[in-house]
Amino acid sequence: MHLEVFSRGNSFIHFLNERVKIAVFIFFSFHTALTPSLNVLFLYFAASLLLFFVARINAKKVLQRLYAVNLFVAFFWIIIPLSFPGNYRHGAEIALAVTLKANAIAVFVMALVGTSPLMKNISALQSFGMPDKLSGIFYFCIKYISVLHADYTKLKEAMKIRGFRFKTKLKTYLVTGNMLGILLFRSRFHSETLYNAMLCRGFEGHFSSLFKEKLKGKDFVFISASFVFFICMLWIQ
Amino acid sequence: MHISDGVLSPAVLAVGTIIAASGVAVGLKKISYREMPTLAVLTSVFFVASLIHIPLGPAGAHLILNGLAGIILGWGIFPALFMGLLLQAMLFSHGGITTVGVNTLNMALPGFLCWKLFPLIKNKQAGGFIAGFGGVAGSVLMLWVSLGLSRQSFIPAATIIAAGHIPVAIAEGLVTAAAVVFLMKTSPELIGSCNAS
Repeated sequence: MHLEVFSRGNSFIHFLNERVKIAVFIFFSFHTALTPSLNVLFLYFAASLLLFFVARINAKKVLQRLYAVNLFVAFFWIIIPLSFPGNYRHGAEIALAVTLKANAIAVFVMALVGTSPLMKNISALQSFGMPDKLSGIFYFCIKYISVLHADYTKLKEAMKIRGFRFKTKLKTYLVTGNMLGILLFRSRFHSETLYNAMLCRGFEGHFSSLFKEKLKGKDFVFISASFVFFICMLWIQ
Repeated sequence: MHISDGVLSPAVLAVGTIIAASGVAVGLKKISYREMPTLAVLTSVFFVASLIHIPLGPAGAHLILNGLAGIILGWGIFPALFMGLLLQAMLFSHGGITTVGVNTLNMALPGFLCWKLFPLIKNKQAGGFIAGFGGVAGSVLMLWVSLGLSRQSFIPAATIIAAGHIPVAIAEGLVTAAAVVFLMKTSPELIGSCNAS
């Protein structure tokens, strides 16, 4: 199972340090989510588009993701006449704010966080103080998602070959439950293997990361530009 | 089911995130290093399980399984679901990054209550159904509360979303009941395997 859709590339953003990208991402996304000003939201949305163009990530995949995000957002537009009877303008403003916020943050995620490999992102979060246990669980979990997804695909194929079809009936739900039981049952063996591997490597309660890169010139350029932009946004607001 | 970015008010975001963070902290504290690989692998199982689509009449739904996760993980449900939701937001843009705390609380708290409730029910099949149904129903209720507290005008939208989840809760109850019966027969020690106390 391929989890990192946007992580490969050779744009300016792909070569930035993960710690810089995550720091900028946190400031931008939280300010976007919390600001009440529509002007600021338009500017953040424009900034997210700029990042998308600079990162040169697959536009088709970005649009697919945004489609899913906007299905939830569309609901707030459809419901305006019910939520704001007689005050459609106010309702539309709120729905517009929700739309801009959700889309801008989704593009920030793809362009800033998505352009780094997951393991490097976790390593960056670790250097920001994420607890050791949590980062360890994170590393293992990501590793095992593909293993268990392969298990699941195998089970599903086997069911298909035996003539099982997913339909809305009691049997489908019971069989799905049993399949889930098999996945959980097998996961015990995976966790034993993992524990034994930890013992073999002399695990002492700390997960060291192999990714420790120093900040380069580009990182300073990017973080200064972002800082200036962020201050402008606070000032406009 | 996951709340996306930009919908919730700052107060709801702050309170939800603080409670969820405390839950994650307690969960991590209760998990020993011996149990850590188990929790990690089980988190991956629940992540993969959330990709399973089940048909529901003309539409479909993906499994949530917070009830089952609660029965199996106990306190571990907080870190497990936090991670699952963070990965979903980071990898698939499902849900939101700023709302990850509130979403974790909305999903994990009902699951956690299922863990407390499950041993009290004698018939494990019924217990599984109640956990599966209650997990989703509880989450939907919390989603309704978080949307309603953010803005009163969101209440009609929240009510429609909640009503739409009743069939999902029933399907989830049936799936969880079958999974619990399977686990009781094959590996009963897995139930509650990640709760040191």
